[in-house]
Amino acid sequence: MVAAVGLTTAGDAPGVRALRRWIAVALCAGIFLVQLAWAPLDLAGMGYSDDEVAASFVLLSWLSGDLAGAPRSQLIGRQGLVTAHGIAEPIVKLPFALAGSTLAPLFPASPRFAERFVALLPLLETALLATLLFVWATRLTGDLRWGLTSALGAAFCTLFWPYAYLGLEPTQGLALLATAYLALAADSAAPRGGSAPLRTLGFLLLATLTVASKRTGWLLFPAVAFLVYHYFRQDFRRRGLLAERWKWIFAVLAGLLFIFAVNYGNHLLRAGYYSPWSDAEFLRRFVEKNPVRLASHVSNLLFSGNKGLIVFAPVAALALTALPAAWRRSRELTIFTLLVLAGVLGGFAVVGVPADETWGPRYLYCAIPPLLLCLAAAWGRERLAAFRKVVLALALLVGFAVSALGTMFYYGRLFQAAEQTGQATLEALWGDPVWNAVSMNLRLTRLWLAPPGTSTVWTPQHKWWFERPPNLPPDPSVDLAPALEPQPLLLRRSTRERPWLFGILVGALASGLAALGAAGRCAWRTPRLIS
Amino acid sequence: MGYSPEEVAAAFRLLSWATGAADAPPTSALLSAEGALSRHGLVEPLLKLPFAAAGQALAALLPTSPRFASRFVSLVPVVETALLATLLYLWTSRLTASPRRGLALAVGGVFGTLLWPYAYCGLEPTQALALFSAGYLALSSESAARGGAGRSIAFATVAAVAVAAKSTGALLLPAVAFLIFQDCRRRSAARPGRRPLAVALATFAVVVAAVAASRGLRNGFQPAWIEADTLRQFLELNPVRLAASASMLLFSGNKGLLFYSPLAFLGMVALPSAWRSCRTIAIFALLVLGAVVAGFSVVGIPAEETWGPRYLYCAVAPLLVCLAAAWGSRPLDAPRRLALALALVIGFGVSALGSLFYYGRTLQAAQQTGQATLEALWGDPVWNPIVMHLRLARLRLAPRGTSTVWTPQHHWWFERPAGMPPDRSVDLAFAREPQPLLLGRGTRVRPSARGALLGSLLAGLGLLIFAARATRSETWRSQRDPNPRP
Repeated sequence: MVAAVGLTTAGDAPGVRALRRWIAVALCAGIFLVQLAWAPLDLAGMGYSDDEVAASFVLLSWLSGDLAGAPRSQLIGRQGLVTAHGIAEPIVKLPFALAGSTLAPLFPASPRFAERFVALLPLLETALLATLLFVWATRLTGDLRWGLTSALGAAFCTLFWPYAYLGLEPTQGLALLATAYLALAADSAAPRGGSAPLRTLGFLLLATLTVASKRTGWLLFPAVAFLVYHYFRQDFRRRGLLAERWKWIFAVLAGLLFIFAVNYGNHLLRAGYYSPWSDAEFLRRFVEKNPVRLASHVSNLLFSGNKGLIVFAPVAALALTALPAAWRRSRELTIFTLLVLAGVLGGFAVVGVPADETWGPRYLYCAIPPLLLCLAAAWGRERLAAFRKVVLALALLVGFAVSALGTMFYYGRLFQAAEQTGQATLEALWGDPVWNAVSMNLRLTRLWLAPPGTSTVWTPQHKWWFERPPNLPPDPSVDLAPALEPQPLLLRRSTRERPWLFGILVGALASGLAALGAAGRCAWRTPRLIS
Repeated sequence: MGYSPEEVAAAFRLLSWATGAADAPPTSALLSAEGALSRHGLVEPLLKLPFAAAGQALAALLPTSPRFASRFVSLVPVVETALLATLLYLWTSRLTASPRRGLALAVGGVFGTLLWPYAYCGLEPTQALALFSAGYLALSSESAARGGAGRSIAFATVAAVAVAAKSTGALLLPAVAFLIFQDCRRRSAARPGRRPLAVALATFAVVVAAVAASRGLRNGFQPAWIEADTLRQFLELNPVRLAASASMLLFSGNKGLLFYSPLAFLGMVALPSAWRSCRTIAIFALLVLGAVVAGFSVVGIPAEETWGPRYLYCAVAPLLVCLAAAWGSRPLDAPRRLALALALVIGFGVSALGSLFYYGRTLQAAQQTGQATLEALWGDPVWNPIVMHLRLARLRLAPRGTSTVWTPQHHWWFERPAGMPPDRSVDLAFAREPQPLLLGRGTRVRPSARGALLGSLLAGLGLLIFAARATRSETWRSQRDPNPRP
């Protein structure tokens, strides 16, 4: 609230707003271009992203009438319109599928061009997420530098970067942050002229997308319900109708009902892909009720070396320590953050699969932006003490190194090695330091940089305590040579043989860095917006 | 109990040698593995010596208990834990100006942290008590005000014991050096001149000599190359694994301070606040915690089969003092009260489970199923000791005929490899026997032992209740600081 009051005087000055807008555009373009330059431009093998891309093309065919007369079972079943998570993600990917299909004839030498084009979506979503973070953090702190640090920190020093190539999470993360922005960022919810109904519709669609984009989206329902409540309360207050309590309570309930109904419809559609009992069977197999293991899962997601936020997004983990200060300064934002965090942590701990073979604690992806905003709210309004500066710099540095390692190789290499050595259990992925993903990618980088002839055979060895059991077969080894191909197209040998592609990627990198440099320079030269 | 039997045996050999008993080791072999040395040197056997002597003297009165003397020595860690708690009470009640809060922290410290299980396990209390005593003598304002020669000798002795009690004691050198520095500063402030500096230098020389002597004596127990070989075998230099080890020691469900000593973890969270209110105490706690966490991460065995993060034992009491320094004498707000209550309840539950069964049951089960790796003990939730002890407690309370066979199953992701042999099972029947004598079947048939233990329990509880009531008395209230520190 304090920031909001401050920003109505300083933040809304036309010059400041134009500057902020310019930086936002440069930032969005810069992040998109830099991440594009480093991209594999392929969602094949990236979790269930394959399914979503395929479904979006089926949806495109269906809309263009190519599937007229196809049986309903084909449309709703596997290889149809829906994925394991419903139809939300294929719909979001549809414009990219359309554009890819339209442009594909221009690139006859690239038979998978249309599919590769859809891989731009998570990149764009990540850039938009970071930009929204910049706008909100700037509003909160009145300092463009904090906004820029938050945005770049999120984009390149957390899970965001690897997941810009992996997909799976950015849609939900962006929808959640956009919903929260509309509900909580002080002046954004203000109706301007006749745009209020449209804004409300947009807000409800984003809130619905947050919950419906994944089948575990209901874990975010408490956070979304809080946003809906807050949005309508603010809206009615602004219009002087808060006294008519029943009306705004009705609006809140109607909004929640709308979200619930759409989510239920999506759930029914999903039944064509996964029968409802398969969800139940999965839950039965993994659900965890032991309180010690539940607490252990939560601790694992936040602090462990294999899957902890502290390693994969240290700047977000730093924000955890700033929550009490954020509570005092931006209570609504902190409540929202806690609801997101509690929903995801509690939910996935109970579900029993708090993390899987993907990079880091992926289910915490959507909690990172709110956490960074809390950090901005707690630390960003005053001059940072030297100790905090050092901690922040360290978190950004470690986060950048870990995230860069995460983008260097396909995330599945670790799991493939575990499978080949017969050790692919969830417990190994969660807690066995031998199967630490960061260590593995460091190993692959070293091998990639090693002179030719260096052995690529690796034996995942454990330390027996005290004696290795007799008659135990020797530890199986795995040849990591197939895993050494880096993920970014820019670094691949095949790209060097295509000078035009190499040129485009280098050009994207250079122009992206230039855009980010310009945004940074502009932000650092501007005094704080609020003294 | 780890290598404690070695220390007990060494204490008895030392006693035999001192009394000239027939089975005494020859003087030439006294400083060897067959003599008075344990793998950590001479400190523990020396400390256990009075209890060995008393045990042997009393053993004649109890001829039906052939192991009475060695059992008597197991009182050492219990007494040390009680002394540690008492010192903790003295220090924290002074810092908080509230005997009630001091008592809560001392009792919570004993029964809600690692201190309780290790009162039976041994291994750690001697070093921790010595370190904490040195901290108290150097940093507590009450004790620093008294600066006689006896106090100087006591300070030098406990500081030397802190670094020489274990082979890894050198990790505590920075913390001990800081205490010597602080002691010197306080003495200089009270009585300017060269004497404080001379005392500090002499103390430091004693500490360094103790480290060197300890190292030399350890070589008498086993050749130096064995230590070097262990280091070579386990040394960890990978920065990711170092960070993961540090994080594991503090946060993990299998070995983290957060689970095994939540009250001490609260102290860690309160470090920034303690830094502002009582910087010297915060620095001391940080030096202990930092050295132990970093040191054992580099050594490559940050934890093993024993209960919880045992190497962090010596940091528990300093962290509790930090908590007292941070919270001071002001009334606690609702979130802090809730956090304190939660930490006490969880800590008590976990520590009670830890003291209920022999800590080695988890490793024994892991060995019998061919899964006894350090990595499994550190991070595999299947081998979580708290869950294992909960399982044993349930089996203990289960009706007769309940199957005691357990299969440590993992979740294969996505498919179990074809041709994989079935998971091995282990019969936990052998592990259900509780550790406390009071609950053991053998004690039920000995009414005298049972009566003595029950009497001890009742008397102990009575004394604690009496102490708690005493803290509410008007005398204390009148002495309370009328202007509590914000």
